[in-house]
Amino acid sequence: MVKKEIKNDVLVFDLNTKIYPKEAIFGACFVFIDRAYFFLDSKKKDEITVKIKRKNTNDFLNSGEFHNELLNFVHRINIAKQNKKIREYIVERALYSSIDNSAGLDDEEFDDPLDIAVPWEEKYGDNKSE
Amino acid sequence: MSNELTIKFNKNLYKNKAIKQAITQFSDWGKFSVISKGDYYVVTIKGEHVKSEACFKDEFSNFVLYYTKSN
Repeated sequence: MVKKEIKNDVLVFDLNTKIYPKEAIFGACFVFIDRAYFFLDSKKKDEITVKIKRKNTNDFLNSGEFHNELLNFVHRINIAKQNKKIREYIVERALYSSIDNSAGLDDEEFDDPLDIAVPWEEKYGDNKSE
Repeated sequence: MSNELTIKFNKNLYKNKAIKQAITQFSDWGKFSVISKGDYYVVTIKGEHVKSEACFKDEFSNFVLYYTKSN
């Protein structure tokens, strides 16, 4: 539930952190940091008080605009949470396949169509010197 | 005449490191001190223009918010 009031041209409202996580609130504040002054406080558990003071009185920044951005950040956080496993899997698979390929280069058969190659062990091995 | 201004930052929302970074940006404005008091970091600024400058408190708070988010 959002409680809203305007005190001396400062917009004040409370946000429930169970609905709007702290990261989302910070993110939304960050978007409007060039247009308004923000001050955050928390007097109750699971509740953050947001105070917004517009930098320019002609600016029409309102709580609706802020709430839309807040919702945008909540959505992004939820999507990031939902896709966490698949993102980890993709990165893991990419790293694993790159290791697999580089290891495969060493195992490639040596191309010797004239059959003149002599293995190092055979030419310079211990048995040869003796 | 020296003016004094006090701003309280909630520990659950703002980082001490962010407050210190903001202080370095505003160090020309006066003498800053930070003390931990209960759930808050209390920042006291002693300077000639800190109270007369209307936006000082707001700008400083925005900087602390910016550094908290950036860290």
